[in-house]
This record gives sequence, structure tokens and C-alpha cells, in this order.
Amino acid sequence: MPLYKTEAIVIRTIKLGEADKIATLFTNELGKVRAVAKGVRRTKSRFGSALEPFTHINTGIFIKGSSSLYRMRDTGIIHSYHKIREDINKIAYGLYLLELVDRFLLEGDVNKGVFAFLKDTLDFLGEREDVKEIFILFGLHFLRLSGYQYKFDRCISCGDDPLIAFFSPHKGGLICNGCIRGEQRGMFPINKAVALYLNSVKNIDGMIIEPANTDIVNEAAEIIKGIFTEIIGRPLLTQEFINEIKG
Amino acid sequence: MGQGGSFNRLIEELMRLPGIGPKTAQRLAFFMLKMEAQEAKGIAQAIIDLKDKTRFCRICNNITEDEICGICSDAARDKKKVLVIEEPSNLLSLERTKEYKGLYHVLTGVLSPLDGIGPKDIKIDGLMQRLNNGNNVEEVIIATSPTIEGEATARYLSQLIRPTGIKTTRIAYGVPVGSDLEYADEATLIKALEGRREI
Repeated sequence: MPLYKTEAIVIRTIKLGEADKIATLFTNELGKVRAVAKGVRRTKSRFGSALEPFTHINTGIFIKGSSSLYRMRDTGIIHSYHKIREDINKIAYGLYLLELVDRFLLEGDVNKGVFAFLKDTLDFLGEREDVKEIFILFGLHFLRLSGYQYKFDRCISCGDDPLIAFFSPHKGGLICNGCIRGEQRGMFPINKAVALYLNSVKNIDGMIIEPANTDIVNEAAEIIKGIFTEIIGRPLLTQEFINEIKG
Repeated sequence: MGQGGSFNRLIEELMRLPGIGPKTAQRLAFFMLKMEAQEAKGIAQAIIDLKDKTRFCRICNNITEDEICGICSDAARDKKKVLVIEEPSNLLSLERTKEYKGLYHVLTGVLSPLDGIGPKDIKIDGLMQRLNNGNNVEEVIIATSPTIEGEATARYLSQLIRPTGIKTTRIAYGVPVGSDLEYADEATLIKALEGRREI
């Protein structure tokens, strides 16, 4: 069986037997894969901390025998993003991003755009303090890279620039008061300032976000979480954690 | 399989244990079959006693046969220090060092956001009650594992404890004793450098 050399970001691990782990990796070359790391839980394992979530690694993976899981070897750390681990808020939002990638991507789905953007986002999450802004930026670009193009500037039904509007993840954007009819399940109210902010962040090319009013940023972050909840069908597990650490 | 029902049942029961597959379970079952009856009954009785007599300490959640464990009721222990750990097995490792003389608090788990395990699922409330109940604790030492889950737990606890004014410390990270620096990874070396001290 061939050995694939690839860069990967560790999403999560689960324990296997006495000393092993199964890692869920988001690889650049093979998309999301699950791979067994033998002996990783021993103190003197050469994997060291390479299988901690967030870690950007270089690894060799191969299939052994008839197993459906890859095996890992020759693994080294490119970047540990250790600064994320020093702040509970960064840990919470960082894990939300990893869970998002885990939920959205099927095994074997190659998405080099998302891989590169996740890498950059983790870098900024470690270095900067505007955690929610980074989260919003990642959320909007992740949606675009996954094929969801939302409109935040005009009503998707009549094309007007609405003053008071709802947001519908399933219909693809804003719906003005004049166009809203019948069932409003899965939609949420959104005010114009938040819609304008999301529209401006959606069009950013890079990672620099203009500072905005805290209330607008907080509400925009909730809208992004709401979109993912609607698409996935339930809130992510890490969302509950984000709510709990707010106290 | 040809063997009797009780033999097969033992194999099935042993396979419930972590790390025991069908072959190991079968090997253990044959070993027990060859044992003296008294020895085999001793194992069975030890398991029954464990389930009947063992419970969690009302104060620290350590395993004990009494309402309060031997460490919490030991007058010689330093009651101004509380060391927070994930599981009772961590307590056994720390006690083997014979260096720590304070008290413990076992969380019986660790925050694991990706698995949906939050603050309400582990024994954080009990720790905060101990700290807020005028027990004169002067230092809380957080000794959760240096994993993302252990780190999330440590950061969350430090955030909760801060308003009490109690000193909160985290055990040091670094290169394992007896290992080779050449094989230490980037994250471990960064932490080892950050935690360096004068000699």
C-alpha cells in the first residue's frame, strides 16, 4: 500500500486500546481521514504532542491490510498554535471551527481552499484578540467555500434594500417585511447594521477586519452560529460550551 | 464453540473490560479455569467487595470505603492546598511521589467541548463549594493533563477561582525525565522554555 505524505490539521482524537489513538485529520491531499497512531499515549512516544487538536502536522499515512483506517507514521509538528491553548475563549471558538470542519466535510472530501483558510485562521486566532471577528470571517468564508452564497445587502425576494428584515439560511439571505409570508421557522430577525457588517466582512479579501461596535459583532456571531445550526439541523456541541464559559 | 455456557459467559463478561478482546478474554478464562477454586473465588469476591463497599469521598471524590477518604480525614495533611486532578488514578500517581502533602479534588472527568462534556458534567461545583465555604484554602494547584481538554479545564477553573482571591497555580510542563531533547516536539519545548527556572 502506498505511503501518502501530507500536511494535516488535527481535528480530534479518541483513545484506542492501551496506548493508541484514532485521530481525525483534515489533510491537504486526501481531505478528512481517520488514522490510527500506535503508541501515541506513551510518555516517550515520538508523536509527542503532535496529535493535539489544532496542531498542523506533516505526516505519512497508509492503509495496512484490509483495515478501513489509515495508519500514521513519520509525524512532525509544523505549527502547534500553542497560543490558542492559553485562552479559554480561543480554545472554545477554535474547537467550534474544528467541529464545523468535521461535521461539514465527508471522509475523503478534498478541499484545499478550506484547508489553507483554516490554517490561516488558526494562526490569527492564536495571535490576535478579536476572536469573534475572526470567527465571523471564517464562518462566512467557510460557507462560501462549501458552496453557500448568502446575500446580506438586499431582500432575496424583491431585491429591495430592507430596513427591517429576517434572515433565512435555507432561502439564502435577507427577506424583507413585505416579502415574509407564512412559516417563519428557521428564520431569525436581523437588524440592518448587523446585515451591513456581515456583508462587509463577506467581501473582505484577507484577514483584516475593521473594528465594529461590540453589540453588532456579538449579534453577527450569533447569526453565523444560527446559520450553522440550521444547516446541520442542531447546534454544534462546542456551541453549548461557548455559552457556558460566558457564565 | 463447544465449551460450556458458564465458560462462554465468562468470556463475554471479560470482553466488557477495556483493552480485552476475544482472544485475551479466552486466555484469561482458560487461566481461571485452571486456578485453585479458592483463588478464583478470591477474584470474584474482590470485584463484589469493590462494588458493594467502594464509594466516592463526600469531600474530594476520591475512592474510599468510608464517607470521607483517608486523605481528607488525615489531620497531618496541609489543608491550605488543594490539588485538582481529573481521575482518582491520578491521585495514586501523585501519592507515589511522596512529595505532596496537601488535599485533593477529583473532578471525575475533564471538559471536552468536542464531546459535549461541559462544566455541569464534572465535579466543579463541589470544588467551588469547598473554596467558598471558609475552609481557608490558600492555593489551588491545577494538575489536569496537558491536553486541549485538560487545558480548557484549567483555564475555565482559573477563571472561576479568580474572584475568590485564592492563588491558583498550574503544574509545570516540560521534557519528560530520562527522555532525549532531540525527540521533544515544538509545543513541549516552548512550554519547557517558558517554565525555565534559575539553578
